[in-house]
Amino acid sequence: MTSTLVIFIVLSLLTLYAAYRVATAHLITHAALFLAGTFAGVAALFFMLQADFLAAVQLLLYAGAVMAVVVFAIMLSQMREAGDHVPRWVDALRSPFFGFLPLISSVALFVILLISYLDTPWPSSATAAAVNSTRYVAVPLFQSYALPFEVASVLLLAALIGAIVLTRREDDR
Amino acid sequence: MNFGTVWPEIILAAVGMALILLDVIVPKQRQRALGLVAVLGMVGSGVAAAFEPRNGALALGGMIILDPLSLFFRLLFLAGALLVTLFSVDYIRGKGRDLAEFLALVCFATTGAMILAISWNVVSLFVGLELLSISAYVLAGFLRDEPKSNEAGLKYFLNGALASSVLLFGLSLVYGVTGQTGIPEIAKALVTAQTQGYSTVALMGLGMVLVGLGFKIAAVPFHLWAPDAYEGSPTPIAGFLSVVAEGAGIAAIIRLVSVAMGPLEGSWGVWLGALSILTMTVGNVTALWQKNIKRMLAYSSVAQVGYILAGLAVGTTAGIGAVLFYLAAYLFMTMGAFTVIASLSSAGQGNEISDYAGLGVRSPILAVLLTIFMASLLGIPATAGFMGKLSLIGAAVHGGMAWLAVGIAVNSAISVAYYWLVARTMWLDPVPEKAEPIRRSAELGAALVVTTVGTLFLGILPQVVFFFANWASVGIR
Repeated sequence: MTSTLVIFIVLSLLTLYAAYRVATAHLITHAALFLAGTFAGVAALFFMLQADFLAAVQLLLYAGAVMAVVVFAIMLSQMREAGDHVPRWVDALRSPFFGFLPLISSVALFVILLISYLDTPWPSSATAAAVNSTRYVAVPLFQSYALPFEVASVLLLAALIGAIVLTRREDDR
Repeated sequence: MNFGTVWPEIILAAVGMALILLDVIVPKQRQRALGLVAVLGMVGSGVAAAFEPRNGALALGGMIILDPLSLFFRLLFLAGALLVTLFSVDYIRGKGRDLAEFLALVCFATTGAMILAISWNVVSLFVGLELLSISAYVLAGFLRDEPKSNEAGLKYFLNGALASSVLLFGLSLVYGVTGQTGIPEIAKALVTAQTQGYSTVALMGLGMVLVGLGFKIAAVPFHLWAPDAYEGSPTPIAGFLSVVAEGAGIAAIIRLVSVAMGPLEGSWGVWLGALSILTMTVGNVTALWQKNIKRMLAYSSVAQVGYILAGLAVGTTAGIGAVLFYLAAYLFMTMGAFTVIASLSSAGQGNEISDYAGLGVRSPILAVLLTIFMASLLGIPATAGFMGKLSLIGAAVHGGMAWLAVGIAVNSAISVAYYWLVARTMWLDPVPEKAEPIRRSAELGAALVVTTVGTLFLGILPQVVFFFANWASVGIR
C-alpha cells in the first residue's frame, strides 16, 4: 500500500464523516461547521489529483465565501437549533409512510453506479498532468467557453433580482 | 471572438437590465410604459434574429449553431415572451406587484431559453436551461402574498432543482465516457463507445439526461409538480411555463436526444413512444376530474407534451417538422386560453370551471374566443391544433409507428369530454345573479387578437409555417 493511497483513504473517510455529520448534527451551526470540513476535504482530494487551481477555488469559494453566506443566513434566521425536529434516522426508517424507501433507493443507486463504474473502461488522458493547471482552466474559460461564462453572469443577476423580489419587505419602498 | 452572432440574446438581456433601471426613473403611475419597452426589446431581438446567418455555421468556439432550427426556436420563444408581456401588464399591476422586475425576469428567462435552443455544446445548453429555470422559479412564486403562488414557486423550484441535478449528473457521466462536451463530438464518441462495448455508463448518463428533461417538460411520470405550479402561478406565467419553458425542454430533447443519441443503434425511439403514450393518456384522463380551469389546462398541457413526444419518438425529418409545427400551434392556442382566463380573473372572476357559467351571455366575445382555443386544443378542423395533430399522425404513420397515431386519435376522443364541459358551462348554464360585465385593457385585447388570428391562420393557411418547420427540421444533424 503506497503512502498516496493511505492519505487518500484517510482524507476520504474524514470527508465522508463530515458529510454524514452535516445531515445528522442537531445544532445547525455544527452542521455548518461540518459542511466547511466537507468542502475542505474535497479541496484536499483535488490537490491529490494535482488539480491545484480547482483546489484553491474550492477552498476560497466554498469553504470561504459560501460558508460565510451560510453563517449569515443562520444569523438572520430565527431557527438556531434543529433539535427535536430532526428525527434520528432509525426512527425515520420505522415511519409508517414508507420511511425505508429513501434508504432503499439511495443504496440501489449507489450499487448500480458502482457496478457500472467498475464495468466501464474509462478513457484516460494521454497527456501528463499539468504542473500549473491554472492556465488550462483559464484559456478555455475565456476563449471557447466564453459564451457560457457570460450567460452565467446573467444567471447570477437573475438570481440576485429574484432573491430580492421574493424577500423584500413591502414597507421598504 | 465574435459576439455578433448572439445579438438577439444580448439585446433581450440588456432590455431586462434596462427595465430594472427604468423602474427607478419612471414614476409609479406611468409604469405601464415599461410594457412597451419590453415589447420593443423583444421585437428588436426578433429582427436581429432574422438577420443572423442560418446556414448551419458554428460560432463562439463551437458553442452555438446558427441553423434554421435556431431561428425557429428564437422566434418561437420571443413570440411567447411577447404575448406573456402583453397580458401581464394589467394582471401584475392589478395584483399590486412590481411590473419592472416581473418583465425583467421574463426577459432573462427567455434569453436562457434562446441560448439553450441555439446551443451546440452541453455546457452552454445547461447554462441556458438554468438561466431559464431560475428566472421561472421566481416568476412562479411572484405573487408572494398569495399562499398558492408561494406553493407553486416552491414546488416548481424543488422539482426543477432535482431535475437539473439529475440532468447534470447524466451529462457528467456522458462527458466521463466520451471526454467531449460538443454535441456532434458526443454523438461520434457514443457510436464508437457502442461498438467497443463500454456503454453501461453512457446508457445510464443518457437515461439520466432523459429523466431530467422529462421533469422539465412535465412528461408522465415526472409531471406531478405541473398542476400545482400552473394553478398557483400568476396566470401569464402559467402560459409562459407551458409555452416557453416546455418548448425549451423540447428544444433540448431535439438537440440532445435526436442529434446526440440519433446515430445510436437500439430501440430508444420505442421507449420515447411509450413515454409519449403514457404521458398523453395520464394527462387526458386526469384532466377529466379537474374543477379548476388552470389545473385542467395543466393536465391538458401534459397531454399536449405527450403528442409532441410522439413526433420526437418517430425521429424522422417529418416527425421533427411536425413537432415544430405543433409547438407553433400550441403557442397560440395555449397562450390564447390563458389570456382569456387572465382577463376574466383581472375582472374579479374565480378560476373554478363553475365560475364560467353563463359567460356566453356576460361576455360573448371572450366566450367565443375561449371556445376557439379549446376547439384548437382538441383538434377540430380549421384550427391550428387540427393541422398539428394531422401532421403528427402523418409522420407517425409514415415513420412506421402507426400505434402512436392510434394513441393520438384515442386520446383526442378522451379529451372531448373535458373541453366540452367548459363549453357547456359557458354557453348553456344559467347566468349567476351577481355577474358583472367584463372590461378588457388594450394590451389584453392585442394579445387576444394575435392569439386568435394565429390559431385560425395556422388552421386555415398552414403552408407558411409548415414550410418553415420542415426547413428547420432538415439537417439538424
